[in-house]
Amino acid sequence: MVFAHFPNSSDEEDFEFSDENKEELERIVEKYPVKRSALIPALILIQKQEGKITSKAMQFLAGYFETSAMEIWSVVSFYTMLKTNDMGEFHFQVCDNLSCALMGAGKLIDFLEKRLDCPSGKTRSDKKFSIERVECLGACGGAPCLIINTDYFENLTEEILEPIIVSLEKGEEIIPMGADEVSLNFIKESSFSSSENKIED
Amino acid sequence: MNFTLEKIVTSRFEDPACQKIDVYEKTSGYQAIRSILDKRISSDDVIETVKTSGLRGRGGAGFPCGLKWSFVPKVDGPKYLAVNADEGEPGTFKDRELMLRDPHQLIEGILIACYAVGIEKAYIYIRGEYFAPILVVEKALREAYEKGYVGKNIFGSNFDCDIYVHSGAGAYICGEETGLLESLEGKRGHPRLKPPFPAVEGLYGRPTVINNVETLCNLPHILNKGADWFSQIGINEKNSGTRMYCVSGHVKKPGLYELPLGLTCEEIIEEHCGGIIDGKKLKAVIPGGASAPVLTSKEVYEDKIKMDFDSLAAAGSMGGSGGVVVMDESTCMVEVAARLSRFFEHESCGQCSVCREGTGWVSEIISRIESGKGVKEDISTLKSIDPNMRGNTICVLSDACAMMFGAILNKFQDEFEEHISKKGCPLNSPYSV
Repeated sequence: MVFAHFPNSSDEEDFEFSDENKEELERIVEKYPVKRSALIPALILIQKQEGKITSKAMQFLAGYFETSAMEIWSVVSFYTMLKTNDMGEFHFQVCDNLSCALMGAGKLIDFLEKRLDCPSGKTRSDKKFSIERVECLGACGGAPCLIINTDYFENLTEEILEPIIVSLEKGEEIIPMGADEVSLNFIKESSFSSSENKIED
Repeated sequence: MNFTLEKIVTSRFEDPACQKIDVYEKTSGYQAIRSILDKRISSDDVIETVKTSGLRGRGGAGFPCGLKWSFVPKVDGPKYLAVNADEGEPGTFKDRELMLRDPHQLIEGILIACYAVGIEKAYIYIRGEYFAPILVVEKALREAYEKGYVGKNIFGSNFDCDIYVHSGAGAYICGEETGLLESLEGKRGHPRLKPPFPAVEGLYGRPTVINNVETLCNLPHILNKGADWFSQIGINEKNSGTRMYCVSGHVKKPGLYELPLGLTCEEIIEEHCGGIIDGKKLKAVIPGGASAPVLTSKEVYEDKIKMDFDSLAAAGSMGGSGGVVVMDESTCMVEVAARLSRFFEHESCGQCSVCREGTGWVSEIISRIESGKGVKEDISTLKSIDPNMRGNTICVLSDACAMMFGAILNKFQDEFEEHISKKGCPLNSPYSV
């Protein structure tokens, strides 16, 4: 078990979905015979829009799902990917579980903390970077590995990671390294947004 | 017994173009489900075929697939399939690549399973960290819907089936089948007491089948080539077919290896993975994910232990998820036990006192031993905790933690004793994180 901290709502604005996300939520809810199943997808959508889950957002969802804010909080606090604090523009999730540890994750994390000037579990004060140590990411054959935002980087060394960090600092695009590479062309060819799941008959 | 190296579920891995539906179809794709519907093969016959093939679950429990399907009562009203793509067992990375490289194979497997059990709605629960697989599977589903291979009146039959992708949000326990159902229902992933089993009372209280990604990926091949073909692959009929071994750690060639069930661990490490790196000696192997009791070098090289479900169970371990973690002589086993205990502590949902407190205490004690602050009594304390963490909880996360540290403690007790007597790690914590 890990303990989460309820966010302080004193200086928060009320939460509202963007118009685009309002439609997305409707599409999501239609997938399930029971509305409540859409809660975690809705939370992921909020985090995409706001960068984190605020207590005002939880109150909004409590109304939408006709339950209490505490009930929503009980779900938010359970899942490690749902954040109530600001992450960096580039959020590093570094695996330090067994296979990655055996292949040098410890040294990689030490390097990353120094290089980004950011301790694990924290967001840098300028909010450019944040580092999180996470459990197994399912890329053990390419250990040590990490995720930057949504991209996997496998078979890492300091030498390989350095130019990637430089690109991020310069605002240049980075592409995943490892098994994710095989998905790039297939995903790009899509003319639909990732949100559309089903063609209406 | 047949150990010919024939690729079944990874047969399209070399050609990334197979992600596209047109290319998938050219390689016998959607032939199995089309044939079942065209020939009006009964759903009972499909279940029989899968039973005869001997296909066992590839997620962790190794439960016979056809038998699990047959537990679903033939009642009216909705039934569901939940595809377990939550792949969180440390050392396991096969379902990720199955979804990335051959998404239509999974979709076809889902259709076959749904047809066999009379299911019209399937949810693919993909762990939240698998961003790319989620996008790939969603796109492949759009392709399949567009062609009428998913949705209403599939291939012009009266078989309807809708398939949806559902993302997780970071919780290992949502890979436990009832934890997955709770999460799919929009709640904390707290596993449910069984019985009732999901086949009878599952998603939204309805009959539900939960199958692993790799298990489902085998179905098109079994239906195409026949149950006998599949059952003759591997060491015997109870351990038939291939599985994707996920090899990581101190081997020269880590990665995915689809191999027939029943090869020895030694053969996998030495002949397929190139042996141990830097000419070192093997110290220990975890054969089936973090929950699988560790094997020693003697068990691998002298006893020549085989990597099928029953051989591993007979040796006190398990086939589990197929995650093979190889550790050489430089590895500190106390550190391994400490790291994995912390994993189970983090991932415990907290419902059961035995698990919540047990994983916490085990993690604390072993970490303390690792850092040189252990005392003699710690070993007997750990040994007394081990049996208490088995069989006393709603799900088996607690048992998994006990199996993990119990085996490491029993087989490497000298290392624990040395940490205590020398007040530190004799190997100087080489892999400490």
